[in-house]
Amino acid sequence: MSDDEDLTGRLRAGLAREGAAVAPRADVADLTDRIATRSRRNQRVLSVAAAVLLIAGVATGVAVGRNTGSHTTTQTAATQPEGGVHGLVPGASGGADSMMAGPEVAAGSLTKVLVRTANGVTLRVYAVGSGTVGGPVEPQPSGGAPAPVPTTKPGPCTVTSDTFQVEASTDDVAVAQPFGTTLTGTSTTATEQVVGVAEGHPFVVVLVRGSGSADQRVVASVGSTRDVAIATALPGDAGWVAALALPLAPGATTLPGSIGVDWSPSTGGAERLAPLLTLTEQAPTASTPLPNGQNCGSPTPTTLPGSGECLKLQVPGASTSSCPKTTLPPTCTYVNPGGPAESVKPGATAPELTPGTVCGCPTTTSSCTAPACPADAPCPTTPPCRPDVNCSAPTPGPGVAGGGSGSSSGSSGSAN
Amino acid sequence: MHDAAAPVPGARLQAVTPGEGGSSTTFVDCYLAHHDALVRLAYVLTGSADTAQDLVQDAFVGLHRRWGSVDQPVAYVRRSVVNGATSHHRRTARTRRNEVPGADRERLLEAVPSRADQPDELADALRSLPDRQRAAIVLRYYADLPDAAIADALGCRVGTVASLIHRGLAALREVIQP
Repeated sequence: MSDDEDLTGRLRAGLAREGAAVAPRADVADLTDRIATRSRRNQRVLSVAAAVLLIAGVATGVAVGRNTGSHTTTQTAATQPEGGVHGLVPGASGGADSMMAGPEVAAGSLTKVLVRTANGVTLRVYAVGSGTVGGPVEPQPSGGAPAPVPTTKPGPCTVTSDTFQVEASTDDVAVAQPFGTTLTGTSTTATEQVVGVAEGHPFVVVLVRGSGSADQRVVASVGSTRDVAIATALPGDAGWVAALALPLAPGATTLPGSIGVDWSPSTGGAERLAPLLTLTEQAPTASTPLPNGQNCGSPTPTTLPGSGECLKLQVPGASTSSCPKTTLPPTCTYVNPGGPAESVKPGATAPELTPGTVCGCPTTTSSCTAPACPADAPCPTTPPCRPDVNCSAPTPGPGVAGGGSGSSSGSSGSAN
Repeated sequence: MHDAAAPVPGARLQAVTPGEGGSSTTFVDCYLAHHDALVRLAYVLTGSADTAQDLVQDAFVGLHRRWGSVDQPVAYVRRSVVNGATSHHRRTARTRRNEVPGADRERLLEAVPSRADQPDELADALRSLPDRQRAAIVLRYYADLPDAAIADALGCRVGTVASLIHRGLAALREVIQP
């Protein structure tokens, strides 16, 4: 017998002897208990794991929600200067999204100017401090009303003067829109925008900006709706501003008539500094720089190739030098019939337009006769609309073409 | 003691694979048929009757959970027993390595399985082998398993089994035949 066989033999014998030394006893009851215990333990583990996952999910959701909310708040607070409000962009006030389309206000400090409620519309007016609307800021004279600083090469769609952010809200509509104004000397400017058309609750927001004493009473009217407001002085002897609201009939897509804006010293009321602003049927909105007594004319239809009948804003009869520099909103706004207003930033590709579209690209005009984007202004050039015109297809009838949130474009003069 | 007729929770058990537990064998039948042999195997591996009993019971609990998906129930339980014995040896080794003074040390040493009732030179030598070598030798020379079954129980390749057994025998030879 070899050593290996001897060793393995001894191993077998020893292991067999060792194995025989124990007396195993099968215990089904014990096994049953162990199985039941293990089952209960597994169920507990699964329950605890499910509970932990549920709690963690809820906690995560709550944390994410709080972080989202606090993030917005923190962001606003972080960028809010003392005494100011962080720049609001269209749509910031919530409500109808389609109303929010329109010129964007660059982030900047906003200073609360006034809050008033008229005709069921709450108006909140903020002055855009040194912020810009769609372009770089041009230097502003310190104190007093900003003077029209001529520039040899103005930036595209640059607002060089005071800009206001107006939040208008009703029970059905909330919208934030920038209003650009520029004053020359002792002029007064009125700017109107029609909003809420898509929501079926249109109303006209009128922002009147004037220089000099704030002892003014402003009256705005359209159709049978009338609103009277007392002007609010702007800080720093920067003149005054008044905001008015003129609700239109629910579902209206056309103006019931021309919009009249009238202002005069509240003490007398006899002195009428400027006559009315008249809106044409094709141009529901307009910005009206009205130097005292200056007649800048009215829009004149013009036909552009491939665009059907278009309305080119001109101011016949006015001398270039006598017309003020007009600052208009920074983005090009397109209002397709029955659809919401769409905005395109300068340089962007304009959306496809449908007949009846009202479009306009704001720009800084240096004359009343040829409002157009500067040569270096990359405003949308997609046919059929040019940046400096409001276009409309052959209109089936009068009315507010496209309705919606029309933005001011070009200098439309008043009749008288 | 058990009552073979006693109901077992979750006793909708499938038949054991023919050749292992016989056809149409229930879980309880499998348990009763292989329990004793597995306890003895566990005892040879661990040297503790109580530990062996616990290992086998726990192995069958695990088998019960996987009864419907295990093709080789006995092989599964055997592998569980071998793994449990390995874990037992590791725990025991850790306990011995701990420096515990006084009464605590004595109490812990009492808990360590001892074969003082079987003072066998070969058993001591076998106990000194590494876990896997010892398990391979036990499975070969006590359970008389082929290399494939040993490899399955140890979770290694067949060639590794031969190597383990060869080195284990060499170590035993040095100890018992200096």
